[in-house]
This record gives sequence, structure tokens and C-alpha cells, in this order.
Amino acid sequence: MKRSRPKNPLLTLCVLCAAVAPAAAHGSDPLAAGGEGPLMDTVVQAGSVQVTAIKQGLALRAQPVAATVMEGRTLERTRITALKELSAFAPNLFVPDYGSRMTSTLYVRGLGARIDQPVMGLNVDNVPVLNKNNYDTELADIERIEVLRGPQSTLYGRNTMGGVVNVYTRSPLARQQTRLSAEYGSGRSMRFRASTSHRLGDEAGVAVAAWYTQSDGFFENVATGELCDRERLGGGRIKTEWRGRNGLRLENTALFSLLAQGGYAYAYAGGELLDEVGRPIAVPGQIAYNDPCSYDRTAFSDGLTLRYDTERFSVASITSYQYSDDRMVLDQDFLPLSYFTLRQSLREHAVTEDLVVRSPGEGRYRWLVGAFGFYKHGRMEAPVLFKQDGIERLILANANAHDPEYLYEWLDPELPLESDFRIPDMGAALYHESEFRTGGWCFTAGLRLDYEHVRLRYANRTTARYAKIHRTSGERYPLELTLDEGGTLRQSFVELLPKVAVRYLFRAGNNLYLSAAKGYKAGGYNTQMFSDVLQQQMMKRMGFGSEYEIGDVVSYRPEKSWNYEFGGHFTTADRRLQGDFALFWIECRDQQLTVFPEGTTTGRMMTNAGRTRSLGGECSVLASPWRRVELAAAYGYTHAAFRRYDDGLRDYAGNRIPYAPEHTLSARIAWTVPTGVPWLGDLVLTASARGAGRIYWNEENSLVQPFYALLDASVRFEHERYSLDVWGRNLTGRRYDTFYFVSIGNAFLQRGRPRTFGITLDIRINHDNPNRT
Amino acid sequence: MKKWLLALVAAAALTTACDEERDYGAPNEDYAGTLVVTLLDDPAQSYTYEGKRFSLVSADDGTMTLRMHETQFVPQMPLLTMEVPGIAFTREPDRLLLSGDRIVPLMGGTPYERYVITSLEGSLTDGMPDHRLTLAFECMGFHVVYDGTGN
Repeated sequence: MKRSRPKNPLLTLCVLCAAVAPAAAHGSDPLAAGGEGPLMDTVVQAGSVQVTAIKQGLALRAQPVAATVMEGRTLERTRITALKELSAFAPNLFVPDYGSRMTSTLYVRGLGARIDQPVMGLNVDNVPVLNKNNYDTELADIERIEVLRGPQSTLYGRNTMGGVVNVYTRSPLARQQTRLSAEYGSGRSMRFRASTSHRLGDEAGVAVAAWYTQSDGFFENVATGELCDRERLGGGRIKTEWRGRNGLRLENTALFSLLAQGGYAYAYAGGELLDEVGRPIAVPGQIAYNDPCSYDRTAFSDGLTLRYDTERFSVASITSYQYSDDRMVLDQDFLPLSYFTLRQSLREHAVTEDLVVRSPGEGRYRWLVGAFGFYKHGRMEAPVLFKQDGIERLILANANAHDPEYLYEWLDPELPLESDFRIPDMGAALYHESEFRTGGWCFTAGLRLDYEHVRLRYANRTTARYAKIHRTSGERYPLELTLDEGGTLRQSFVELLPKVAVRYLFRAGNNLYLSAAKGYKAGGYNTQMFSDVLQQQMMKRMGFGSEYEIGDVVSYRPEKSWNYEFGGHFTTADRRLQGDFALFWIECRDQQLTVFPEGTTTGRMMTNAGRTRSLGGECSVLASPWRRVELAAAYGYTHAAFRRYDDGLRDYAGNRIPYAPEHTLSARIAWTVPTGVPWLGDLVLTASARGAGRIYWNEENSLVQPFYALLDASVRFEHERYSLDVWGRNLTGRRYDTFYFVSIGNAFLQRGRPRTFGITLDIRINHDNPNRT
Repeated sequence: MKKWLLALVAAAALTTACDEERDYGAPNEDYAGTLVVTLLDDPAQSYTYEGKRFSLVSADDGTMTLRMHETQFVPQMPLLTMEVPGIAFTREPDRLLLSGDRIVPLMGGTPYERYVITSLEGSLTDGMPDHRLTLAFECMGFHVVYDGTGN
């Protein structure tokens, strides 16, 4: 870690934009540029690629939005298997690998949240994934990934103030193929995939995919002598499609996955920690915790899309059921001491329904109206167990230091703080978007009315048996303290989410746009605060400290933002160069933040105290300067700072927002060399770099991860029927950190993935019927 | 519990004056008010705390117990929840008079002699719509005055 140094921004951005800008002056190619094809025509079939997008269409480069699209071949060559591997490929998108698939935190344009509600939505085959814990799963058999940056709240609603990631899986109607894949790499990591898609008659098809991945891990926990970040993940997906001749279409995607992970690779980052006799407890840079850590998840979802097209309108219904059951076991002190542990389990059922009616396509005026509703019910148990060191060092030491009349003695070896929750949450929305075109101009306006009602039913229990011994008389008072209480908290939110945009088209694939849109992140309850609540209640019963108002401590209201954006898309006439750029200004209000309540020295509370401003720009370039050479680059710059954030201890106004990187950069070059050997196919040499930084780790901005770049490379034999890929990641072995936090006053850092190598074999067996069209 | 406490106070009132049927407030309820703490040795040093919560509970032995929630006398002092048992009360036509001396308060269920309460005087007055609790006592070299209301 280094101390931060202020630096000036936008230079690189300006240079890159200037490089891209000349492209605006030339040419037209409707298809390559995403063209002026029908914005609302949402089924594209080109060759063997078929994707059905309901709301926004696929010609994103013709729309007033900053978007990064990755499709089949690029996804294969870059070996993107999870959302976090998109990090930096889309400018200003940063998805740190926190080591657990539970913490799927996304940062975009300076916005982000470590816990609770995400700032980006995730849709898989048009179905919104409601639980952020399920964001980090295997992306197998994927046709296309879109990363839309900037608020998408008018069409997608809550938790999309930073954007939306749309994932489309392969359609069985487009390509009939069986694919087998096997991969072996560092850390004894293995990945096996199998998928097959078949037509069932002229109108229907089914695709089945299954996968299994495992890794022994990369980081040793010296307290146990074992690797701490092992992982086993398996799952499958069945996708069925039916396309009737009368305009009716049906698509169903069922997904099942099982995950078993070890713990976090949290390395101690403070000064040397010694025990009472001077022996080291924790050494800086070392991962050492004694209690078990794990994360297990079972997830199932089914999404059904019905679509009916007529000459006057098109109507689509997207219905989903989502189930997830996850269990996290955590050594919360992350030290080889027995302070306290957490066993958190959350079982959640959710149903969603999105009904979209829209105009069919080509007129000057186009419209879309929709209604969305969801209901989810979560049942969570989150017992915190104070163990011997926690009782002695946190409770007894504190009590004995501050009570001049009594010595305290704990009568039980452990102290359980039990919290159970029921979290029903429902929402409904109506939305509309209109688009009017005249000449090269296109005007878009949209509005969404979003309503949400969330409840939290809680039950807290604990029993503590302890004794107080009078310091002078020696009189002993055995005492028992029992807490058993519950209650219900309720919140309702109503939000209006407008959006306006104007775009000017020079020629197909070349346009500029201005947009303003409001985004919002839902309110709710931070259940992690309940252990603080219980501790405070216990202290109060023991005579010290203040009791929290539970509603004030755990509740938070929605966070809102306004995003103002100027951007454009450019494509040269010969299609050898295309570029996108966007400049943005985001004002974020009612930011959900953790603060320290006045008058107490322990505990935290959630509040909507913050206000931030995020300014920046981003650009991306895709070029083929020479035959068989492909270049791609993306750069994002964000200056995100608090305009107001007083946590009760200090005012952080003017400081940078932690965890969101100032710069993101990716660059990739691929050179395809025909081998001349028919059975060998082409040789594809790829080198790429992904970078992010500076990342401030704390609100004081005193700790920082400097900009780091990871160099990747691969050598790939690419044949129509197979490919063999030998690859390496982080080839220079760059040491970097992805997360920083403090627990019981001790600092910890999550280390980034070290240098890894691997080999991947993909086999494709086509069984298309050539007579079928 | 609340009804039982109300009945106890009402019974005490009835035994002293049958013609009086007035309610002197619900003594097990909370009062919110202002706490003014003055250093006995240096009356110029005074601290005022708003919105402090006190509660008065009837005890089985015919006395009352005062609970001072999350109270501090000086800003450097931690927030303490003290229980002051054995407060005697007498009845007057329009109020209850509270008194006590050399009462050792309890914290977390055990006595704390260093916080001994002396010269406690106060009253609980019936009022519409609020009842008023006033208290004055000395503790740890401080003169403490409380004036709060509850309904």
C-alpha cells in the first residue's frame, strides 16, 4: 500500500477520444455499426447467432447509451466465465474478485456498494436476477453479454442506477451443436462443460448445458496449513424455444447450480500483533485464521418468456421464479484467535413478472409501455457466536477496564447472539418510453413509476451468565441476562424515474447523443447491524452505553442519482475502426452509508447521509488495422468524491469514494495466423492487459491501491471443430489487492489472484440439418 | 404489570384520602425532560442535557424505583443506566412528593456505592395532558436537577 497522491485526470481520455473522432467523418454500414436497424426489433439472427432482447433491442451503438457488447467468439477467446472477468473490458466497470461468489460487488462510474443493494442489474435471457448473491455464477454457453452503463432505471427499475448487464444464452434454434470443453490450470483448477442443442421439429428446439468447475485454491491459511479459497461449482441449464407461425414465441430457461467454497484470502495488514507473552499472533501479509470459513449456495431459477407479434404491436411477458439457499460461515476476526464467528443462512423465493407492449418497429414514432411486479420472501438466520477470546478480550477486558467497583467473570464458554429474520419484499412498476425521429434527430423520453414495500420481521435472543465480584469486599453477584425480543419494521418507497435523450445521426453508425436519466437503488434493511444492536442492548442491561433505535440503525431509504451524459459512436467506412465515447456527470443523493451514532464509541448504523459527485469519461476502440489483426481497447476515468459524508466521527467531504477505481484500462491484440494445415486450423496469438486503480481503501483516503495492470496471453489453435488454448494470466505475477477492511480494529487485505497458467480444449460437433432453413 | 402498578399507587392514595380519586400519572411510564448538572464545588460549571429519559416504577415494598436511562453527568462520563430503589413518597392533594437520602443505586443488578444518591427530593404532578416529574439530588459531587413530562 502506498500513500495517495493527487493527480490530474482526463489527459489519456482526451488522447483516446481524439484518436477515435476522425472515424466520424467517414462511411456507413448499417449492419456493422449496429446501424439504423430497427431499435425495437429485438430478434437478431445473423448466421448462427440469435438473441432475443425485449426492451432495448440489440443495435446498442445506434442508441443514446454507453454500452459494451461481447459476443460468442470474443467471449471464447477471452475465456470469460464469470461476471467479474468482465472487469475493465467495459470501461469504468470494476468487479473485484473478493474471493467469495457471495460478494458480487460491482462498481461502475464511481458508484457501487459492498453490501446489500447493487448499483447494476443483471438480466439473464431478459429475466432480472433479484438476489445479488447470485450474480457470480458460471457463464457457460453464452451468446452475448451487454454492459450498459448509466442509469437504466426507466426500463429496468430498481438497482440499475449504474447500469445493466444483459446476458443472453445460446439459442437452440440458431445452431444445432454439441460442445465439450475441458480445462486444467494452476491451483489444480479444472473446468468441464458440455452442451448440446437440438431442433425438435421445425418450430421448437432445446439446448442443454452442464458444467463443473473446481479449484484447490491459491492462498494458504497458515493457521490451518490448508488452502483457504477452494471451490467446487456445478450446474446445468435447459433452454427450450418454440416459435409458432402465427407470431407467438415461447422461450424458457431453467437453471440450477450448486456451489461449495472455502473462505476468504484475507491477509492481515496491520502492525505485528503479539500475545501477552510477546509471541506473534498475526504477521503482516499472512492469512491466518483458525475457525472454519465457507460459502455454500444452491440456486434454481426458471424464466419463461412469451411473445406475440402482430402488425400493430408486440407484447411480451417475462415470468420468473427464483430460489436461492446460501450459507456462509465466517471467522469474523480473521485471526488465529477465537473472537467470534458468524453462520448466516438465507433462503429466498422470488417471483417476477414483466409485461411489455411496444410498437412493431419502423415508424417515426415508436413507443413501449410496461408493467413490472415482483415478490420475494427471504428467511435468514444469522447467529453470531462470541468465543473465548472474544469474551475475554472484547467483553470482559472492556468491562473490567471501565468499572472501578467490580471485576467481571463469564460463566459460560461462549456467548450466542441469535438473530432470525423474515424479509418479505414486493414491488410494482409502470413504465413508458417514446421515441420520435425526424431527419437525423431522434428524441427519446421515458418515465417509470416504481413502488416497493419491504418488511423486516426480526427476533433477537441471547442469554449471558456472568458474575460481578466487588473489588474491595469480594462479594460475588452471579447474574443472568436474557434478551428475547422481536418486532417488525416496514418501509414503502415510491419513485418517479424519468429519462430524456436526444441523438443526432450523421450516418449509420456515427452519432452523438445527450441524455439525462434518474436512477435509484432500493431502500431496505441491513441485517448485519443486528449484532451491533444486540451488543448495545446487552451493554445497556449491564448498565453501560446506550440502546439503539432498531429502526434507525438498520433501515435505509433509496439512494438516487441523476446521470448527465454526452456520448457518441463512430465507425469508419471500411469498418476497420469503430469507437465509442461518453462523458458523464453523476449527482448522487441520499447515499446509503454506514455511520457511527452520536455519543457512543462502538456500533454502526445505516443512514442516507451521503452525497457524492462522479465525473468522468470513457472510450473504447475496436480496430482491424491489418488483415487478421484485431485490436480492442477500453479506458475509463472517474473522479468520484464525497460532497457530503459525515460519519459522526469525521467529515469526509471532498475525499474520494473508496473501492471504486479512478482508472480502468483494457487492451487486447489478437493475431490470427493460418497454419496451412487443414486439421490444425488457425493459430491465434493473443496478448491483453487489464488494469485498474487508484483505488482508495478508506474514507480518509489515506490508504490506496495504486494502478496495476495484469498481463494475459494465450496461444490458440482454432479450428471449426475444436480449439486448443494455452493461456496465462497475470504473467508478470503482479501483486495487488482487491479489498480492504477493518475488523475489531485490525486491518485486512484481500489479495488478488496470482500468476496462473492453463490449457483449454473445446470440441464442437455440428449436427445442423443442412436442409433446414 | 402496568395496571398492577397503577392499582398500587391508587390503593396507596385511597388509604390516605378517600375523597381524593385523582390519578398522579402512570409511575411506571417514561418521562422525557431536561437534566441540569452543576458541580457542587464550582457552581459555574453546569451541563444541560435535553431529551433524557427517566422512568419511575412502583416497588413491592411501597417505595418507588427511579431509572435514569443513558445518563451522564459530565460529557467525559460514559452513558450509564442507573436504578435508584427505595424512594419514599407521600401524597399531597395534587401531587406525590418523592424523597430519599443515602440511596445506593444499582447498575446491571449490583450496587454502586460510589454513586450514592443524597438529598433526593421531587414530585410527580398530575397534569393535562402530561404528567410532570421533577427531581433534585446530589451524586458524586454534582447537584442534579431533572424536569420531565410523560403522558
